[in-house]
Amino acid sequence: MKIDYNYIIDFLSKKISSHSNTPLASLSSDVSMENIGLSSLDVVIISGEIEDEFDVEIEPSVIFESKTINDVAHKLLKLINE
Amino acid sequence: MKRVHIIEEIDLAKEVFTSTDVISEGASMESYINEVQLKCNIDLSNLSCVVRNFPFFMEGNRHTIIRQKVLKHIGTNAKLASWEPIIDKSLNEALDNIKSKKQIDLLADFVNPFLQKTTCTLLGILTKDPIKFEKCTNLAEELLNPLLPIRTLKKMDSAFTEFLEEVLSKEPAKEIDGNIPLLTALLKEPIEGFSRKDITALVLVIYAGTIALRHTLANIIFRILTSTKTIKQAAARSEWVHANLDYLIRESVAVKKVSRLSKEPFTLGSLNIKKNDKLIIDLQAVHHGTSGQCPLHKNINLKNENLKDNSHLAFGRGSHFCLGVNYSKIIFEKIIPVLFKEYPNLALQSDLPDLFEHSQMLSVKTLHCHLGDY
Repeated sequence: MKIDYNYIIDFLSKKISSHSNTPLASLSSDVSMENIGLSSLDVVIISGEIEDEFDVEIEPSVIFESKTINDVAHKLLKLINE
Repeated sequence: MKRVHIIEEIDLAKEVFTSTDVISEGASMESYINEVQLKCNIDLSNLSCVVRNFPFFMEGNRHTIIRQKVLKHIGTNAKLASWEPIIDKSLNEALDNIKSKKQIDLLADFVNPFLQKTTCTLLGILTKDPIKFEKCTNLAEELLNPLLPIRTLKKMDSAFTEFLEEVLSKEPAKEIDGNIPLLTALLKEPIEGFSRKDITALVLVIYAGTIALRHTLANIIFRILTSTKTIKQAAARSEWVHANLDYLIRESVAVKKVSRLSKEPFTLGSLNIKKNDKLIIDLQAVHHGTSGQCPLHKNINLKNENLKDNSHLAFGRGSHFCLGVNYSKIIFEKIIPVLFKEYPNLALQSDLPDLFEHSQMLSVKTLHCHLGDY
């Protein structure tokens, strides 16, 4: 299955919104991850959800070290296509 | 996201280790695992048990009690002295096993089997599958990594479940020449707040802690092997190893980083730390700074007491100071001179280090050597 970049952004935004209690509407893909307020636990759980959804292995540190949702999506797309 | 501060100076690192009033030592790890269980609807109960009994993550009275018990049984030099004949016997057997060989991997063929056997005997760990047990304890070491993926947490829980079930189904190890192994001793005297499973998990974690010892020892041997002939000759003398041991440890410490979490705002040197900031002590930077090459290369008469500041944080500091510090030093002081005395022409096949890739450790993975004549 070909994974669409927009689908990844949509998926990540929904998950991040849900875990950080941030309204989805206010969560643009270029907002700084530092300002979203995810805890280590949130990041670990989101990485697990990503693994289940896209059948890839992603280290939580990849999300932790990303600057924006776009940044996470690019890294994830690269992992999917490897 | 949390703010992260990397600590690279030894004085600041010491302050982080000892400022327990403002810095959490990690007691939240158990609740963290429990939250993962709850939120992801998965069973990590045995991992949670291991974390609860991981001395590094323990705080308060529970930590004090278990620390005193462990030190009483295997922590003091006086107690370890009665184990020395058993350690010596095991070391001689390990030497016999490599005598007929010309080329070996010093770690896989000598150091690791010796340490595995000796440590299991001391701790009272009986397992039918030592290789699987090693893998299980390697996973325990990974717990120091604060951002483990859920798949790794599941894998850990599964490995710990198997080990805990195996050990709990067996009779504790018997005493040897009047020495009672740690697990046997702790199971004999019920400790309030600790079940048999808690005690077993604790001993598993203590074993896992000795893997750091192995990595540091590997680095020390590598340093000596890649040093001058004079240093190699000096390493064959027990008194030289004793005099320089802390320096060798400081230069060779394998643990990369130690993480802590601030409980409230405070000032650390020029840093303004906020509540919940993460502090990462970079042990490699703390110990090596910009000094570069080990001064032992230049001056073999250098002694611990001659060095301006020979302190190191290889064993931590404060209330979580390593429980195995005396055991580690006894092992180092036995194995290094014996090895270099027995094999004065011991030489690496290549000076290039074969590095072990691990998130928490920096060490050599193999030491392929020519034994030379003995």
